[in-house]
Amino acid sequence: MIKFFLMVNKQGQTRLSKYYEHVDINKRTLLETEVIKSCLSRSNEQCSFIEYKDFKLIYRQYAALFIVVGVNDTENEMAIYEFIHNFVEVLDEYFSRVS
Amino acid sequence: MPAPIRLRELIRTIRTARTQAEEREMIQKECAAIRSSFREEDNTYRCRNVAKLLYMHMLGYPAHFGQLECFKLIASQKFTDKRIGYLGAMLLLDERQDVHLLMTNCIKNDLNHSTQFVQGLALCTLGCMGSSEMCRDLAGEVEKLLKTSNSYLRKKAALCAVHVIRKVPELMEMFLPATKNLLNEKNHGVLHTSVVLLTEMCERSPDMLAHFRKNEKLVPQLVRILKNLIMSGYSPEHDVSGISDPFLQVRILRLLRILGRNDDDSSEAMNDILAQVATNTETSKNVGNAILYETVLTIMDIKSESGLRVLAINILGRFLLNNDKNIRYVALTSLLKTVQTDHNAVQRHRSTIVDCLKDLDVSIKRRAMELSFALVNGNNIRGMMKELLYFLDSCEPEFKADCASGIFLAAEKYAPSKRWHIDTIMRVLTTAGSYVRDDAVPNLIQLITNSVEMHAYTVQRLYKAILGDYSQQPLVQVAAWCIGEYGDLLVSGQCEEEEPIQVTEDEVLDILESVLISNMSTSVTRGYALTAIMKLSTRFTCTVNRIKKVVSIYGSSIDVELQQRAVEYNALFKKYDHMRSALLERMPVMEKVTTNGPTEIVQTNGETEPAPLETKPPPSGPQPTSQANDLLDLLGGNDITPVIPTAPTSKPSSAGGELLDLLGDINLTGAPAAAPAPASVPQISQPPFLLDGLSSQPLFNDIAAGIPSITAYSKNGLKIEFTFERSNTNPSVTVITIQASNSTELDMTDFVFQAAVPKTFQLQLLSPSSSIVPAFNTGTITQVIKVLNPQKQQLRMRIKLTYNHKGSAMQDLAEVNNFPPQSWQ
Repeated sequence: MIKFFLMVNKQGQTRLSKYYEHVDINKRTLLETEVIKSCLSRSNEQCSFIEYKDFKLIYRQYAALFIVVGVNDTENEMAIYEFIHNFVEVLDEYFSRVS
Repeated sequence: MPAPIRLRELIRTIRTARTQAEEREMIQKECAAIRSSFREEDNTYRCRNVAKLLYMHMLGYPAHFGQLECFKLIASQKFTDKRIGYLGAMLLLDERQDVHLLMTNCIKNDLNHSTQFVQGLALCTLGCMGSSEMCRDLAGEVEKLLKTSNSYLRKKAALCAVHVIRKVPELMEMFLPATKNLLNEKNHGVLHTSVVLLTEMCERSPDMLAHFRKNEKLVPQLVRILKNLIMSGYSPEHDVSGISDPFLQVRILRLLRILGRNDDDSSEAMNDILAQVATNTETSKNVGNAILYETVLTIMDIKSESGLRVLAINILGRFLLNNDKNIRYVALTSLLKTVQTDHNAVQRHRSTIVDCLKDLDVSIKRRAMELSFALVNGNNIRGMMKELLYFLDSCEPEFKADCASGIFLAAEKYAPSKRWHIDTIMRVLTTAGSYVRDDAVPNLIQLITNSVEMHAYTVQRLYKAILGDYSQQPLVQVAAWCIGEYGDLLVSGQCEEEEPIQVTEDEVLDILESVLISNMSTSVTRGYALTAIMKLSTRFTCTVNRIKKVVSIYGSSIDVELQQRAVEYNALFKKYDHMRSALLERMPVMEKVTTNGPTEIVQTNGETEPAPLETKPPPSGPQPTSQANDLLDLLGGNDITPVIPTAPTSKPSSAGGELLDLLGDINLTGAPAAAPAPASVPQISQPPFLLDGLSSQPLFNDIAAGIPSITAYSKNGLKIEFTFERSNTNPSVTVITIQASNSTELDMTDFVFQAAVPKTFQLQLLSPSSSIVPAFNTGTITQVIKVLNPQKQQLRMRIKLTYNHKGSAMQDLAEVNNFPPQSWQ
């Protein structure tokens, strides 16, 4: 089950966030900074799935934007990976430039 | 008042802020403007203000004052207002706030609205933040909507139903009739959400699961849908990189997995389609791989036939060779799950897995390491260990502890030879010494003691290891212990396995002293080192004075533990020098505590207190007779047990007494926390339950009724009588007191009594009262034997007597078979 969906830029500013389970508002910013820190520290050769606390993070980078989805154990990571791409394609179709 | 700025303007303004403080300032200004606008009850701009508020909430700023405004927006008739209102409700409200119940009525009305989009909004909001009360109230409406023909509404209703079931599981039955027709739709949206709904129902309730398997014929329906998806040609609305609606395929596969788990019929029905998906899916793009991954997971989970399983593992093997990291990670994860069940199949891919250890990615390395440990077996242990040791050298610190413990476990289980085992452990200690867990040190010491022939080799290697570097505590502890025990082997330069090195006693003491002094050594390590130095006082010949000096220096150390040890050792030098060699003898082979209890080494301190007649009740629990006892092996069939107390035989009891004073308040009965205490008189290892000393008084408080004594041996004037005692609480222990008397005219000197019992028994011989049997029956030698007879078998014993009589040495063997039944039944 998807726990949260984040779009964060390289500087760590949240562009979009949606939580599917309740997280306290101050914990949210903390979570976002930690998540973006672990994503930023990965190089290109490393895989896109990170284990973070009890979530799995699946992230994809598009230019300066990181899209991170946090899931629990039952989810198929590769399907979510495709899903992120699908989402970006939809955004691209609907709006002209996504940044 | 000027019109409030639009959301886009706000976003642009916030983005121009260069620091966090600037951003906060802008937001606070805007919040103030919004608040005053809310107070003015301005309908036209409310929607814009709430939108801005939601954006600021997303950035992390408090926005609770907007909650009531959301209600007003929901209540309005304009669609744009409703839209923002519901969005706000979803983001700002949840069941923690009391006001959310106000929404119930609004949602109810909107669920029956004429416009499908409004209905959709209401369904969305309910599905997002509905509390259990709201769900209970509105479940009926949702169920009604689930049956409409409007596919837009149907799919939203299905998702809303999922949320309702999660919040209020009892309502599941209510949705059951509506699900009958759900899968007949053509619309993929409805199909997808229906599959999600069915998955949720099956996961939550085993009754539902059974129902779906039998009555609904769900599996054939799903198989049909899946087949259509694969076989149908290109359809532009559902196409993702050449595959038709992969998300739906993945969902269906997951539902099939749940249905097929532990159920033969369902599994059989889906075998074909799974094989078809596995072979037909294109693997060039990530999408195809995602579907294959889900297929593999499903195949492994259901009761599939073996051909299918092999196919699945081969797919995983192919994944492992793929260049894409994600796929390799996913393959390693699934292999880890399947390695328990399909061990042989996974073994075939062992070399690829081991290669993954060298990957750059942390997640892949971790998976590969876990999988490698799972794959280690007796055949591949040497090769695997080489790779794992290399990995230990180069991996990140967070892995080292796990890797080290994994290596220890694997080495323990599959070590091909003792030397290899010791080498491996040494290698681990030298490369990752500081990450090794604490219990590894006693385990390693126990292992070293057990491999008697390797002592010289071991101590030499350890010595060389700490010569260079003594910062890794576990390594230093083990090395110090070994040098203390086997220092004489080190100095004498005998070593078969390796080139012996020339070490002088001074050099050895140098290194031990530097360990003591070094700042890097912990208190525990220093304790080990000091004890080792002390032990060397009996093994080394020319440096005893130096040792004395070192020990006396530490008598005033600040560390209490060190000080205590040093003071006692000092006393040993000064007042009890005659006992020193006995006390500091080689440690006997230690038993391994195989129960789940603490993994401390079982110490053999039992024999140090013959004098006090304390009755220690034999500890019941943790001494299962299945515990391998070296003594038992020694006894073998009828081997003679050389159970001769090595304490000076002149005054055994009083020596024990002095020892008692010397040791003072050290805990004599338990194992000391750190290295072996100096107090262990080296008897052959005895299970500590036989803790009592010599006594001629009854040893148990609750003796069984009197058992007749027997004459075990009577020949050449020597008569040996056995008297028995048994405890009611522990009937498997029999205490035999022997009395040896001499009816001839001359004394029998150097009398030694030895006994052996069959394998099913355990025997313990305590010190005799003396070694002279006086003539003319003027006195007797008393000795206590304890026999553990858990299986209540008939007692038999073979005894051997050696003594000097009339100037010649006599020796005799005899068997004692006339034990009374009460002594063993």
